[in-house]
Amino acid sequence: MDNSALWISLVVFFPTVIALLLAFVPKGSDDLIKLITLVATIVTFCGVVGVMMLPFDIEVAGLQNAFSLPWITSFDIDYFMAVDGISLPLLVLTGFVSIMAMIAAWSITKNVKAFCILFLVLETGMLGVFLALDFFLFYVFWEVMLLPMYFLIGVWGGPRKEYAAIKFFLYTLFGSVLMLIAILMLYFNSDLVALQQQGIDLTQFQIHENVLAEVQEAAAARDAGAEVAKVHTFNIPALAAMGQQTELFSTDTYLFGWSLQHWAFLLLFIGFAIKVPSVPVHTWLPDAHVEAPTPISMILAGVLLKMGGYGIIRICYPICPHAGYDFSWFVCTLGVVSMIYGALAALAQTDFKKMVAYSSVSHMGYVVLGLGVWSATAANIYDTQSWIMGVKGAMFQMIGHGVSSAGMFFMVGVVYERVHHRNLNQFGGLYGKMPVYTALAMIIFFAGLGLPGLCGFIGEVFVVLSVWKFSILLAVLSASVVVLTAGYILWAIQRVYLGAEYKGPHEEDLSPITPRELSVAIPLVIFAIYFGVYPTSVLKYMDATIDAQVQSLAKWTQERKQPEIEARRQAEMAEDTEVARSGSVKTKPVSFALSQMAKDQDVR
Amino acid sequence: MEGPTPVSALVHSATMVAAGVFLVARFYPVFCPEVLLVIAICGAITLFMAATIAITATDIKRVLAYSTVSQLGYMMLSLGLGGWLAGVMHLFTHAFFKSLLFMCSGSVIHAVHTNEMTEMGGLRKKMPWTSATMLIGCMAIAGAGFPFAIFGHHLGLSGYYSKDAIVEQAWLFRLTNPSWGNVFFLAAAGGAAITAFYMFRLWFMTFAGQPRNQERYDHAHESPPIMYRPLIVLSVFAIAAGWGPIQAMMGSILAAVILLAIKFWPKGESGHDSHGDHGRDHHGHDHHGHGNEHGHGHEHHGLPPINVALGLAALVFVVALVWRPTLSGVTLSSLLEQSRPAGTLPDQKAALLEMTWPNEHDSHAPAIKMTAGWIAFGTAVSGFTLAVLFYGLRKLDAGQAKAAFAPIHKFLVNKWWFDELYQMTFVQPAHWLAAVASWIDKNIFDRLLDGSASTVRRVAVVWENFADRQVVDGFVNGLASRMYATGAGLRSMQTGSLRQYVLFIVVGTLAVFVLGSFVWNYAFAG
Repeated sequence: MDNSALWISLVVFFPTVIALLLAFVPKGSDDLIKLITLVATIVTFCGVVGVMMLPFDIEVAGLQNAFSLPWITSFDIDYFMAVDGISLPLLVLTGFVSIMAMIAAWSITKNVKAFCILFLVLETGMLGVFLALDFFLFYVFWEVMLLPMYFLIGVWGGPRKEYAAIKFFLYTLFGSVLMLIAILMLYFNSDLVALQQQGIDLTQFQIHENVLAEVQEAAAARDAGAEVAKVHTFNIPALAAMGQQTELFSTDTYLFGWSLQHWAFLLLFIGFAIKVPSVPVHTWLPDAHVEAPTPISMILAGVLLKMGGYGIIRICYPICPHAGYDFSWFVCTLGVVSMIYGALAALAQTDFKKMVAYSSVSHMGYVVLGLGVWSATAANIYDTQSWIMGVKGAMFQMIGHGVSSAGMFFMVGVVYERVHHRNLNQFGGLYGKMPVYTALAMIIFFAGLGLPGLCGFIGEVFVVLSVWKFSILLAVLSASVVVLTAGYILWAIQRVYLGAEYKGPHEEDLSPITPRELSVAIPLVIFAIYFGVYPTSVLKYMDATIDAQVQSLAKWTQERKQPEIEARRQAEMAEDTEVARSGSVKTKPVSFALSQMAKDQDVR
Repeated sequence: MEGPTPVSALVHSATMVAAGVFLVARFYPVFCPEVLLVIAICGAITLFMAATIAITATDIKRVLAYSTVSQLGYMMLSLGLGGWLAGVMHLFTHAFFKSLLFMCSGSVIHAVHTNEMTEMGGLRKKMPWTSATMLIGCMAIAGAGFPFAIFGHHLGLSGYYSKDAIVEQAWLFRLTNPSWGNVFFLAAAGGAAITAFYMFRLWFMTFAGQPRNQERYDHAHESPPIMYRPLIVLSVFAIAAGWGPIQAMMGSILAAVILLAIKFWPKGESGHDSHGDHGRDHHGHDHHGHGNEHGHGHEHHGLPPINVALGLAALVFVVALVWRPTLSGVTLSSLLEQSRPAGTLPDQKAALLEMTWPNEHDSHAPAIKMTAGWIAFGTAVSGFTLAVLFYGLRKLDAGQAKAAFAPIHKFLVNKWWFDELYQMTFVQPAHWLAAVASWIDKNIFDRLLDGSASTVRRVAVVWENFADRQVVDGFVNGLASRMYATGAGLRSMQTGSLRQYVLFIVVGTLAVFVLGSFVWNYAFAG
């Protein structure tokens, strides 16, 4: 256990250590600094693969490599990290995209040292978010990641960089403040004693000895009839167990008759939806992307957006299942609206990069939709198949989009560096001048389009299939988005790459793709194809974990939520019949199977 | 259609066309009769609409493209009427003659460097291989064949078998369901007439008559062997794809007769069965009309090596005769019959409609086959005749007809305004919605956001002014100035006059004692 603590910490903080060392490298040696940073990202990636991926047992559903060290002991805040099937693919993606982005960053010439230091700190933040399992630690990493991003956009960005940077910062900060409120709400209502009284072994959550002793003491006192204060915790798996096994978060009701967990879910969801980003809190993304330098756009689209999806699947649903069940329509509708809205907005753009940015809004809508498809017990048939499909589809979409969107932003960057504009209507005929680049770019754009055989397809198709059981309307709408996607991507390809030879600004600067650019483009293309042809290579890591999580939530639905809804419906029925008996209103025979879905949503 | 010709050939015969029809054919057991009716209606509309567009098109490839759409309509119509085998078989035979036709059009375009048939004409003499193979393709797609049985067997080109099967099924369907059946049969039979008309219109406009553009004609030449040999291979299939061994024997006899007729024809013209007459007429005319130097050379070494062809015909005859028992099971229709989806044959009654989908095998009953066969033949011949009158013999003036039916012509040339309709119903709304989405982003979400940001800034300024400047600073400054004022007021007492000070001290001391005396009194009294 101490071993994994050492190794994982080494991997996470290695970039920061290098960043500190970089501070002592003299300022003039830009290439050396870039090289050191690149090597650091490569070493970090190797660390992620060597420490987390290779020893990963794909048969095991639970946390692996878990360790927990006391950090702020006064409040039982731990340095608690672990890897599981949900975080592992994202960790590997983070390492990979960081290398690609760093190679793409070679064209940065302004304040290279500062750029590299911030870049490395950012990488630590990203890895930490995916690894942290203590809510407080998670929040800290979440914020750590925010600040470097602010400077990276604000200093190295385009003409409106200040506006974009502050917009990004305030948006995300707003989300994280909501998250902080939710964290406190959950913390002060958590109770390890109640969890233990459900017969759950607390040691599986890496709870420390002294806390365990405290719990024992409190439990004994409570048995004796005394009023004892709750034992609070920031432990995310323990909070999830409390959300699913106890009624700690749902007994008290607040505004609108919603319980604590409904409010917590909403606050957390807004925070994560901003990051995803989901309509209507997405407007930071086009600006941030357009202004950010290419490598930062790659990181932003490739990794940062995934944190929203990760937060939803890791925190929102397991901890607040009642709310997740009751809000599933809201979440899914939001996903579909994002998909349609993002695709339409992408269609309207004349800025190449902005179009790609809006395509991210559209594609991340699939993630929200897939995670929200709560179809464990649709129409009284207990079958988690389609739900599992949705969650895995969403996870795969995150990985696939990580590759394809990073690739798309890079491809836009390559041409922007040459012609210094991004106006789609001034392009055309790049194929003649840059054939290799065009071929690679087309593969990447087709991957973004979701062409079968490329990485974008798998996630989209699984999500759309899974929605069918949840709602036919949403399934039809989400499937038809593919037409819009094909519309804006093919139209862009036509306007940029095909047609008569390029005769726009900086025509003479259109040189063929360089080896450095190839070293970014080719790995991305390879993975876009590999993931599309052999999706099992990603799915196998998440299978056990996602199956287990969905099964446990489905079990919860069957054992806790269904009886509750049933009881409420019985009560309503009784009321109805009473009304009918006493008055002129005729009782209508209710078709349960059909009306259940709609009714379930009306319950709250 | 805009693709290079080999791609068009592939797209129109195999890949894209096959996909849709193949899907319907594979999913056939899934469709209930009501769905089949919808498929049939779509098929009938497609068949008719595309055929009418093909009539007015002047781009050679556009004619072929719309003819493909029309033939697809045939296939769908057939599938929708319960003619599974007929539809799939038409898919198959169509693949051969349509790729042949496209490749032929490619050869023509290669020669004259234009797609416009209004620039062509008379190319038969320049391009004997292309014109002959294209004629075979036209006959195949029109469904040329003998409408009567010879020794109990029917003989025709590949399209004859599949198209007649479709017409037969439509006729059978009409017998069981008169109201809808009439419409479908009309579409199938009328479509056959239109098909024959536009296909021969194409052939005559391209290969017969006088060149419409002398310059292009002069530069035209037969394509190299690498281009026309595939045409020959495809024409063999376009002729014989539907044949069994008996038909092969009959076909080889017929071919031998034709070949011999050509060989011993007095003038040695490259005429072709019955159509040879018309061709010859014009040929002769052309021949005198303009220079000999082009026409002659091509004419002679353009002649097919008749002896070789005769030998091949004999070989086919012998092979078919010897292997007749073995080969009788491998005709196209019996092969396709093997893959017929389960449950598609028996009569199906629709649940929601008063209609019955007849058993496809019943359509082969002699009574139906004969009636439908003659009707199909009659319509095709009428279409062909019309084409001959307009474009072959030019007894009728196409321009006059165009003027007489100007509104219809305009409607058809504009492809029923379908592109405009789609532009209006799909493309424009999509762009419009996209603009709205992007407008909302800029003018609502962002304005809200920027607005709230600037509001916060303004509130901060106001608050800073009010709370800090007015309240807090006001209080502190006010206090200070009050102190100052008090001090300043008291300063007036500092006169520097010793007498006044002594007076103050005396008065003060007296006051202290007077005040004190009250306290002292009570204190000591107690």
